[in-house]
Amino acid sequence: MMRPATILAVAVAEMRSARRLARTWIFAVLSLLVATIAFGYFSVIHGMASGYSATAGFVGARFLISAMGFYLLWIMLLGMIFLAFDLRSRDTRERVAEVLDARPLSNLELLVGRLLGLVVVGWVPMLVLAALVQSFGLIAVGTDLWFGEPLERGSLIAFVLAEALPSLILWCAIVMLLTVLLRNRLVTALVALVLVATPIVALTLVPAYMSPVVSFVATPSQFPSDILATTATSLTPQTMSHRLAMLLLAAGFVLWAAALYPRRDDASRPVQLGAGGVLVVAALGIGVALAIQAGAGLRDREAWLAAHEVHRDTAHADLAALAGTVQVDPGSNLAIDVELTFTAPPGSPSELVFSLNPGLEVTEALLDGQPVAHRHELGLLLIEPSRPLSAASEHVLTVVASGTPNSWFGHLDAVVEPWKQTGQDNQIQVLGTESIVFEDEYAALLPGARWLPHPGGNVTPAVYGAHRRDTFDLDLTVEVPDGWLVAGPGLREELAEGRFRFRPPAPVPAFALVVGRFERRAVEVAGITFELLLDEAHTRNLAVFDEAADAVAGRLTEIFDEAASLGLPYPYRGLSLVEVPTTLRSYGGGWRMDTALAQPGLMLMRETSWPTARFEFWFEIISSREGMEAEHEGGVPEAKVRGLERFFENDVGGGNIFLGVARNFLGFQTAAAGPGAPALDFVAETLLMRLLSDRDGHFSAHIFASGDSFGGVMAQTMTTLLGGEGEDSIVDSVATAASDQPSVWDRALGAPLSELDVWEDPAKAFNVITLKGRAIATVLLDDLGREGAAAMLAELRRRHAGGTFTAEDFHAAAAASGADITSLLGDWLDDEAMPGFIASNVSVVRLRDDELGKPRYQIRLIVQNGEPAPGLARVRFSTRQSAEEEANWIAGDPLRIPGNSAVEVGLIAGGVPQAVELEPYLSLNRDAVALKLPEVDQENTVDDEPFVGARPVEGPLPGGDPREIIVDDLDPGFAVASTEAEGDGVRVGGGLQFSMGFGPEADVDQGLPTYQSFTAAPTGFSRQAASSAWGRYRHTIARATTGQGNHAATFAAELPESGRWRLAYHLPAMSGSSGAVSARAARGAVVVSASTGGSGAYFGRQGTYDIALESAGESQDVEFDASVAESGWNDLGEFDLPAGEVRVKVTNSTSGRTVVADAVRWTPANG
Amino acid sequence: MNTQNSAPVIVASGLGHTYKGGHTALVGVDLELGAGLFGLLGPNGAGKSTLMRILCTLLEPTEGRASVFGHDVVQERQAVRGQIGYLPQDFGGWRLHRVEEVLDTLARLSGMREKAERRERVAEVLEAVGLSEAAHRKVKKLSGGMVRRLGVAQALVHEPPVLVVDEPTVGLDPEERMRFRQLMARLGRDRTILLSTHIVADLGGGCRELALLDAGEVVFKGTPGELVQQAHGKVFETKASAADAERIETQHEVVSRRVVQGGVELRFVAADAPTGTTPVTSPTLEESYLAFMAARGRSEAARQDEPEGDPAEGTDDTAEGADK
Repeated sequence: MMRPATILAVAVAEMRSARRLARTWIFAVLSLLVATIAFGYFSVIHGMASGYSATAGFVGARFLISAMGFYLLWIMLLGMIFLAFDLRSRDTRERVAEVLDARPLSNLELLVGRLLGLVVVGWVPMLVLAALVQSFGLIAVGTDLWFGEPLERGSLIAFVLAEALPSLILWCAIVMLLTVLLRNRLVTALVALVLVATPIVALTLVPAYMSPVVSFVATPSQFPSDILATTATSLTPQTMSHRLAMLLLAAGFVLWAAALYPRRDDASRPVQLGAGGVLVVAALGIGVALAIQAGAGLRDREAWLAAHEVHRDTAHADLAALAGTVQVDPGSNLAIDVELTFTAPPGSPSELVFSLNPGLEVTEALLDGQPVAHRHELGLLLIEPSRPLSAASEHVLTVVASGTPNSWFGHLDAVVEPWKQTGQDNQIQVLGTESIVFEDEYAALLPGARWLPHPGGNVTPAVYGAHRRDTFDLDLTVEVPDGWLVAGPGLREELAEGRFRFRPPAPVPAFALVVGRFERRAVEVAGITFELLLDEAHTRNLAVFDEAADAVAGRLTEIFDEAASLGLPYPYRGLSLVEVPTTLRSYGGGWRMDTALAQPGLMLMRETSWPTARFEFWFEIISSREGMEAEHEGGVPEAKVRGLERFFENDVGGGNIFLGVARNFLGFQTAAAGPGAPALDFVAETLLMRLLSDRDGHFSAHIFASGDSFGGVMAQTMTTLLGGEGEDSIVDSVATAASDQPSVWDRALGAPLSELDVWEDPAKAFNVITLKGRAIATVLLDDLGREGAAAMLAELRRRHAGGTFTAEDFHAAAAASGADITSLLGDWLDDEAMPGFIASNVSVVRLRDDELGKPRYQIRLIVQNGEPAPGLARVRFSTRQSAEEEANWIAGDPLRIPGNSAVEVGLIAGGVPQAVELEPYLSLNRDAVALKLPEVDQENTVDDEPFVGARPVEGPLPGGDPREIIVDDLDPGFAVASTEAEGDGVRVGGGLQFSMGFGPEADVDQGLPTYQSFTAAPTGFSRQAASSAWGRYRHTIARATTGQGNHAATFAAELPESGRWRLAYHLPAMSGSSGAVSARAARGAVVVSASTGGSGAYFGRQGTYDIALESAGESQDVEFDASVAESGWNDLGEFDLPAGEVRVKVTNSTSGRTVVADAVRWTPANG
Repeated sequence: MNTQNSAPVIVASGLGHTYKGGHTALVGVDLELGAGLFGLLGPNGAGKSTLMRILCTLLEPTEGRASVFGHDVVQERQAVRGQIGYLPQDFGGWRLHRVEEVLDTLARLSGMREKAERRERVAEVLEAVGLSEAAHRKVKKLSGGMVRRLGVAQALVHEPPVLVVDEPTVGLDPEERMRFRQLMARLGRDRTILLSTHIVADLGGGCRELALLDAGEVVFKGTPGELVQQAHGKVFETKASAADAERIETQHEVVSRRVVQGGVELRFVAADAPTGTTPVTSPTLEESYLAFMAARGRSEAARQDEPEGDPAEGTDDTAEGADK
């Protein structure tokens, strides 16, 4: 029998004690501080970044209550250990235990009272914080502060009540039980500290779908939303059951603690232990049930996927038109009554395969107006015609169905399953998890969930583009509740209140419908209706951009008119930009995991994007109105349009409007098929985007699918944001960072694009396509020019709209528009080969001054393509004198250099060139090559005619001794080995996995780990690119930090004849690579010592190397002091050697800090 | 032994306790206590605290049984706890709580539901123990004597019919002791008080009965008068020179020693009257206790003036006791 008054008395006394303990305040203040800092941090970052990048809105404090709450609560739980572990010892210490023991209260009353007291002490700070934060948020909004806003109210309440309270209760009960069992405060604290870390470990290691089940600390189950009534902690039956289990567990533990408490009362110990056991078992039972239930959706998916994969590559009907009615009663029912006009697949199969969401129930199916046998199981709608349909015959399938679509059905074959990602890699959750949203307040019906019948299974064909792409004509009537709006494919005709029709003039490959009570803004320009549909609570930015409305309309006119003038008119009559809740999954399935936010005639915009972004920082703090007026011709409106463009182009989460809108012009009209299709699509899309918006679009959810890549994206975002320089958008930077990686190059060089298996390491495959695709698009655009490139794409669309195109079609369309891609790029799809460029020394002479009396310097050099593949390169120079000046590169025209040929290049500079670089497009050189410059005679002029451009030259490049033998670190003769005790003792470079402890795993660069300057140095040799290093095309070195000589790099060469040979050892310039210093170093004007000088930052102190010469089974040491060596070739002496293999071995044993292995050179000494 | 006319309140029969380590603290104790102040006298380590903790349900007897108002101390702990107020030998109080808060909490835990009633009662007991002015003071700010008085107050605050006080005057100054004795005498009029002490004077005039405990056994039960009666002819007085006084002190248990003109006046305990001494006609209770113990050859133990910890009892963990 428990007496509330007694429990209350204990609780009050406990609160009093705890309240007066310093440690309570320490932890309360600490948790408040952490949460306040987190809130402030997220608010400020959101205030700054959310207006800069459409992705950065994720970090808003408003929707991150769970993330902040987790740490707040966790610290409080930590503090609870040091309060609850005093359960009895404080009484004993204060000599009040016996007096208390002699009181007529039961152990249970005592423990429950204490637990309640402690819980209140831990809980009150949460309430205080909630009040503080909300007050601040309201004040911030009320005073138009550029950052800060209240937390999403529902989530906050749910956190305080449904997260914090159960967590505190359970945790206190756990610590109390520990205290009773262990009877030693220190041991209790240690054990509890281990236990309190388990939620963090659990959240890191268990799959996302299980984390809400296993954690007893606030676990975010989803992104909260203003649009939906969803809170961070959704109060679903599952959540409530979970909290009930926590409370039962707590009750069980308290009963156990009461039974084992070192004071006897009249309660029966076995009864209490038994009752506690029953509660604990009940709680665990609920937990197990929840765990089973949590996996139900995934198990369904697996069953569906298995059923659909059977039909992955079977021929299916070709949909030609879709017409009918869709009735959307959000949250309750979706009723469809549609007619699908299709042509029958070849082979007259006995059943036709369609996919249809398993949440819908088919009530009627007619084929050509007659009832037809059909089955709808596992999301497959199998139509069994009474007699086989002859191939290519046209039929009409009528399907009537209704129900609530199941979100789990979407994107069945995505290579990354977000719910299975563990905590450390589940950043992909920020991209949303629901393939459709069908709630009482809102519905977003995306095609990935197949809420309408669609030919074939709900999986991507194994071979990309193997099937003809199904674009179809659409005529759909949509009924929604009165007062609601629906956005869909292009222009919406209103037939009556709540009744709309979509009849786009061009076919669509798929489409989405979004239904809600929106705030609408619309403008009609260039014959197209643009509309913006926002949640009613998210209209603040309408006011921010109100004054720029005309400028936005002007910009839209410009883009769409330009597209039309390039032969690529916008195919739909309307374009809707619609807000969607963040829970909506923004990416699709398959290997590609492309954006799902871009739909025909419709661009979806996440809630955390423009609708809730803060632009005050950019339009008020960073730039004043006066500043904007001064900087932009169009004044503030134009500045805001520029800001808006920057905002959207910096979306790395799939919401890039430039990409989404560009798809309407080409991607939704035609798509590549057959070998190389992904690359063809990528090149066409990149080219189109650059034509329309001078931007790249780059998105794949893969970058969010691992902690490493996501960290890289965020770092890149912050660098771009904070760096403030450079023209690249975050998307460009991320694309470069992700694709310009040594292992991506290795794969790109390993197989042609047409043979790229996109299902094998899809993330890397996409990076390969990005790496080559962007470069190829650049080549095409630079070589063909805007008009030429646009003509090519327009021809492609004209020829293949509504269907697909192959590589052959692509080239044919290009040829028809006057472009010869093959001579430009060679067999770029079927051949992995790339050109490789070698440049001669540069000559610079002063010509006569021009007519205006300005100086002219003639730059000449020969550029050779040493590989069979043709390629494109250009030469650029800079005349800047110091590092402070901007580089101001002046580039010549792109040069087409056929395979195995050379051209002489001429450029005219208006000053003494300080740096000249060869800038290849896509080549084995990978990076720009800094060229050596001679001393320039500025006094005497040469009476030559200026030469600008390129002309073919015959024969090999001047210079170079044909008898010399050079072994570079990228040559086959180079190898590294280790004698570290590991495995079989000796490891040879190549294909090894290198782990460097914390931080991302090192990429592998042609057999060696990539050198990473900001992470722990790898043991042994790693590879680093260095422009001044020796190399035929690519300039790299191998480097190792000082060690015991247990790692060695070997340069092996085959000497053709015995005799006396001279050995030289190449070192790169060991100084900063930017600014005039490196330019001078490259020119040879200044010899940069390899010693400490300015090189410390890159290589550290240099010392004596441990070099051995091995030949004919004998070994001799070679002296080399790198601290006094020079950049370039260093003579190591002459040696009498027999013909055959000779090896120069350098180990990581050095008196300096690093050993550099770049290249060795053998030259006959007596020649 | 119930010399009172009231029904027995505390009954112990054949009560014994042996600690886990094998130390036997109590052997076959039989007691019956009615209303009034009952003294439990005995040297340190005699088993007084063990007996009291058993009666207060904090320790289970290993032998025999005991009850309070008929409630068995093992089977009906809560009922027993509802009847008693207990002041342990070692009492501290929650250091961070105020004096009145400690009393209020403990009163609530003893079942006093009414706030007004509690407030009144807290004021009363504070007045009674002379702590009214320290009511708002935190326990950590109290002197040792004040904490002791707080201990008395907490034992009384809920007006229990049975009061068990273990060495209550330890740490009190003479004036406080006097006042405490008066308080006990007054309280003893309408309730049962079991007061253990090794200082005979603490029993005061209000003590109606006492039991003498030595090495875990009850060696005497009766009224103070009966103890005094037993001491007749065993306490002597003499006036001696300083040298003689020293000799006497080495040979006998000296009860008191007073320097007077021309020598030292001594009162001491002896089995037979030594030459030149006069039997004391009315020995004090303390002299009687000493005489009793001396007769048992335990005068050393009985002469400890200042209380020291009872090693067998004070350091024993309650938990262990409870687990027995």
